[in-house]
Amino acid sequence: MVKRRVVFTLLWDRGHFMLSRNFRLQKVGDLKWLSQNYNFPRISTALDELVVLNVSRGEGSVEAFAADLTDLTRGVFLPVAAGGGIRTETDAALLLRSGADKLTLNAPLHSDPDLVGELAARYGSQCLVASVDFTRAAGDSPVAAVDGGRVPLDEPLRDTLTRVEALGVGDVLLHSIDRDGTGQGFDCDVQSHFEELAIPVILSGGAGHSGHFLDAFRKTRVQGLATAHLFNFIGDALPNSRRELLEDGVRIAVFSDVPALAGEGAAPTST
Amino acid sequence: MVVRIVDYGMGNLHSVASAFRHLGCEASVTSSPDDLKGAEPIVLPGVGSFRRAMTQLNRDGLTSALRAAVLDDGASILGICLGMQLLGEHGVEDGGSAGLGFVRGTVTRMRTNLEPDAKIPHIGFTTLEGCSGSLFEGLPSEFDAYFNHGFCFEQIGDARVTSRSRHGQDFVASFETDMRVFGTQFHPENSQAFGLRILENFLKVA
Repeated sequence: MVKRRVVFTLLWDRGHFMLSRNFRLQKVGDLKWLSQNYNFPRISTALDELVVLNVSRGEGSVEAFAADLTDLTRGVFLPVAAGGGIRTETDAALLLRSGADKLTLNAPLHSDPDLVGELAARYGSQCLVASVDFTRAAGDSPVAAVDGGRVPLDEPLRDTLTRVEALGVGDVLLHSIDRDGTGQGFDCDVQSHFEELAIPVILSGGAGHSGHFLDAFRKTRVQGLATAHLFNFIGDALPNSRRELLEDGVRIAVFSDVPALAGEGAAPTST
Repeated sequence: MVVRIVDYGMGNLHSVASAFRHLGCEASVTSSPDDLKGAEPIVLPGVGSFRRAMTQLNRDGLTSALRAAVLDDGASILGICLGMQLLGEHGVEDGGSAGLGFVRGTVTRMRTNLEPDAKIPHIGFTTLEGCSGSLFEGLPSEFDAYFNHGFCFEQIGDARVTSRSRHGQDFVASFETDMRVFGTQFHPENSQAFGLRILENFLKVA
């Protein structure tokens, strides 16, 4: 039986990592800043999966994103899903050669379903993560929103998810725009809108402390929970959250505390 | 020692190469049959479609180069995920196709007979059971490893099964042969410190 997942999302914008609140982005630092302030390879040992999203606007950022992804993932030995700005098969291949194990797709789910189908045929559905942002801004019923969360779709979230699943993706990263960066806890009620899906769902948006993970793991049947909060969940907070979840009986993977053996001293720094 | 990582256009190549480099070993990513001559260890990574992978390996002349390296030159080989499946005889996916045939066994779509609500593809950390053999030297007999697949071997012949796992059904999680042909259905390169130890063990016996 597969275990549940604690996922961290890093938001990248033209060389900088970002903090997001309701999809308004704030610059916190570049790769050098990240490696100086946070020992990312060490933090990663408390995670089941890392998602790195390119949230830059405009063209031509895929190469720079791929270069930073390579540096970021050095010394990190967990699955990395990367995406944002994938518009062609060449973009996808570049990311898979730059440290990504899986591809995260958002806009092409709606604008270019043929690309999604082609990527699924080549790399398999288990390689594709559908990133779907949703909002309840127009009332109680959630709807997906595209273009940086600004354009709501004219269909119930349930229909969007069913359509996305049919494209052949392997996972859904379901992110609440309304809870994004607020630290108020996950939108657990959205569960009723994805219950029919056969593929795993990772819920994201709103984690403020480890109690929110426990609460959402208990209240929902999501496969995973994700946070992008660089300040609330960095340093010892992630390893501590993980230990608390295990103590509270959440079925997540148990990792060795043994340092990465021969490699521990050999990890090159990113700077 | 140089580990040769086979690039047939479908793998998470960087992650695999990066893990071997972290262990202090040189890793060369290659799609050239000539680079596969000799006895240095070979890693066959891969995510995706069995049929497409075999089409690509056949077209690039890699199928015969891999067979020559393992059977004639005595190179050891580690297949990871789809790479492990390709070491078998046959994959049923997408109309069916022949594999490299180093071990006997057919790769089938995962069933959910033991766990009806198990989601396929099987993505995430799951416990390995009954770990034994050279890849697991120094590791516990049960621990969690990262899987990402929708097909599997239920049984395998001409090989020792060195761990099994369960998700929806019981399946082969790893095997080894006397010819030093190794396969892991899970991804050691994504399985944190335990996974690195498996790659290190492969280098020791390769």
